[in-house]
This record gives sequence, C-alpha cells and structure tokens, in this order.
Amino acid sequence: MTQQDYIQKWLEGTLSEEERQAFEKTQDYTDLQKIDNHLKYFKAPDYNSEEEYAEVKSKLSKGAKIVSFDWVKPLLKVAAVLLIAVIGYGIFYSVSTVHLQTELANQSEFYLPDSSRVLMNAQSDLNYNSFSWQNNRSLELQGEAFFEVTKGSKFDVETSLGTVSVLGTKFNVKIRDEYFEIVCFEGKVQVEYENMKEILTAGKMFSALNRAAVVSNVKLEDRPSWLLNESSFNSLPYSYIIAELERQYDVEVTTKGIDTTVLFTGSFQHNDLELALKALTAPLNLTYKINGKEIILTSEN
Amino acid sequence: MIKNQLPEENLDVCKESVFSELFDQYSKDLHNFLYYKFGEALNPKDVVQEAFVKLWNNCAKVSYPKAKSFLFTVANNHMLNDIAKNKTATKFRDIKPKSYTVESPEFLLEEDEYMQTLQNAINSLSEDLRATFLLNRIDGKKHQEIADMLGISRKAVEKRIYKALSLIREKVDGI
Repeated sequence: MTQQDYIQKWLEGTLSEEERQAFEKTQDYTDLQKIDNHLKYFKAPDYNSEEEYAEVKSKLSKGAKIVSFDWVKPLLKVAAVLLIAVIGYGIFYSVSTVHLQTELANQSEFYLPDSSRVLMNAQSDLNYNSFSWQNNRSLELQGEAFFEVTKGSKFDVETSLGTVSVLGTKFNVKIRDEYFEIVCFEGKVQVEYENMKEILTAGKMFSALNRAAVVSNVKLEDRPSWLLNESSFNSLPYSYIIAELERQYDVEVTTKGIDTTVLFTGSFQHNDLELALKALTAPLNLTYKINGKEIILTSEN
Repeated sequence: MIKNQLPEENLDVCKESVFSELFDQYSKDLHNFLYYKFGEALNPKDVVQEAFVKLWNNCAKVSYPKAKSFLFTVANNHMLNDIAKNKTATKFRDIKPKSYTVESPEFLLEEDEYMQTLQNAINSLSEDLRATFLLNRIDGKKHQEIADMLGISRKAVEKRIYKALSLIREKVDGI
C-alpha cells in the first residue's frame, strides 16, 4: 500500500488495526491529525430547528389581507412627539460624554463620578457618560488603564476586543492591536471575549491574541509594573515591546534585519532610555543607535 | 413526531405533517452546507427558510423523494443569484474560527500562526471543494450522504475530499 492509499483509507476511516498502527508512526498522520483537531473550530454555527421552523410558518401565513383605515394622522402625531423626546434625550446624553486621552510618554489619573479611581497608561483613550453613570457604570477603553472600583452596581469596561465586568475590585486592562490582557489584583473580574466568559480572581491573568486565549497565574505586587515606572512582558512578540518603548519614551524605533515576531520575556524602566535599550537589546544580541528621537536597532549577526 | 407509514412516493408534501418532517430531516444539513460553501455573510439561515417556503408553494409539483434535491438546488441557486447581483459579497464569504483556549502563553503565537494559515487555506479552496471537505471532516457526513446532498457521484465526493486535503496541506504542511 502506498502512503497515498493509507491517507485515503484514513480519510474514510477504513484502516485495519494493523494498518492504523503502521500509519500512526508517520509524519503524515501527525500532520493530518493536527489539521482535523483544528478544523473543528470552523464548525458551522448552531442551528435551532424549532425556532427556524416557527419562522418558516410565519412566512407562510403572511397571505393575510390588510384591512385599511385612517390611522395615518394619529400615527404621525405620536411619531412627532416621540421624535422630539428622543432627540431631546439624545442631545442631553451626548453633551455629557466625557472623553479622556493620554499621549506618548504620558500617564494620568482621575476619578469617576462614583469615586472609582482610574490610572491611564500612555497613548490610551477612555470614554464615559457622566449623565448616565449612576445607573450604568460603563466606559469604553482603548489602550491600557488600571482601575480601583468602588463597591456598587456592575462596572463595565468595553473594548474593541472584549468586555470586562467587575464588582468593586482592582484590575488592569490592556488592549494593544490584537492583544487583549486583563490582570485581576483584588476581588473578582469577569471577562467576555469572543464567545468566552472567564471569571478571574486575584492573581489571575487572561491574555488573548487573535482568538486564542489563556488564563495563567501571575505574581502580584500591589499594582501593575507600569505604575511603578517599569514595563514588563511575558512571552510576547518583540514588536509589542518595541511599541511600548515608543509609547513610554516618545521615540520612533526602526529595526534592521531583526525578526520582530520572536517572543520576549523581560522588562525596561521608564526613566532612563539608555538603560532601557540595554535591557531590551542585550538578550537578543542587538545593538542600538540613538539619533535624537530616532532609535535604530540592528542585529549583530 | 409521528412517522408517516405510507410508502415514500405517496407522501403528500402539501400536508403539514409531511412538510414539517422534511424540515426536521434536512434543514440543519442544508444550513451547514450553505455555510461551508458560501460563508456567513449571505445569511444561510434566511436562505434555508426561503427554500422551504418555495417548497411549500410548489408542493403539488414536487414529489416526496425529489424534495431533498429540490431544496438543495433551490437554495444553492438562490445563493448564486445573490452573489451575481452583488459582487462585493465575495469579500465577506470567508469562514472564521471560533475562540478556544491553549496551554500557555508560549503557544499563543504558534497556535495563532497555524490557525491563520489553516483559515487562509480553507478560504482559498473553491466553494465546492470546501463545502464537500468540511461536511465530511467537521460534520462527519459519509461520502454517500454528501453525494446525495450535492447530486454528484460518490467517487466525485472522494476525489474532492482528497484534492481539498492536498491543497490545504500545501499551505499548512508545506507539502
């Protein structure tokens, strides 16, 4: 039997016990099994026959006649009143949206109307509505911020990748490009990401990159390292670390002949650029050159 | 659901009990077939409903044994018509994976790269190859079942599956 025959039989599920054992020793088997294991994530969405059938039935029975009467005038009056009410509310609501932004090499601190404390890292953006805050503690975040939330109703941080919900606790949310990371420092935090829901207790970190996610344990100081003038990273692609360096020091980094997808674990301080560059280049055998606000990183190989 | 006792040729599609049984039997498979072939953007759920509505409206002219191929043909044509009417739909006909957990941060990047490559490989298959392949590998449909659904021979199904696999392995395993 040729290898092609084995593969054909594996596809059909008709390998004999003997043939299967022989095939399992080959690289082909490993490759094919890996493909199959990952294919299941492309499964079609769930299909609820009962619900769908009910909709079909309602489509079928829409042959009914419409009885006409003069409901146009009263309907227009009601519509006009509703429209004014909605516009009025809309204006009031939009006028009370608060928008905060930090730039490069800049961190900031402020308090929300319920005395929850927010510390924002560089190049971050935050939006919330002061009008509706009492009833709905929900804000939008792009970038990175540390939260100390006062006890009360549900507190939501909405980001483009997922939502974090808490009830009075301390946690850090980081969202940069496609990377989404939440660390819980105190209390409990619920993370909604794609169709997953995870609850994190103190000392747990949720990190996700392009739909693959992991929950791991982290050693905690009282607050994240960026608040203590240091940025630290655990197995992230080097490009993310370069981006954070640019953010903290307001510099522009160019790389020459460097593979920026390599995973890096380490940290750098915020108050000494030379020291930071040494920390980031030495482990990878790179050299650096500073030209004012431009940094060039080159591989020594 | 009470199973009808009459021989298949005599079952009346215009009877609600027969019609609803056809729905039970084929709606999910039809949905998955449309999803794997055309993706999410063209609303496979709606197209399934429309196909059954058309079946009902033509129930006097479609015999029970021909109902399945009627449904699949009508639904497939509906999709092709929608695509012909609106060319921009091709951009959004991709299939996306659902989220999942991996063992540790070190594997995050590897898994991500593999999944991206696999996703590209799947989406670059021709629609027919893709639908046949995924119905077999993900939904576990047997070759004969797929042949019935698509109105092709069993041999043709086998060839498509093997071809799809080869094309995917070229991208994913570099073979």
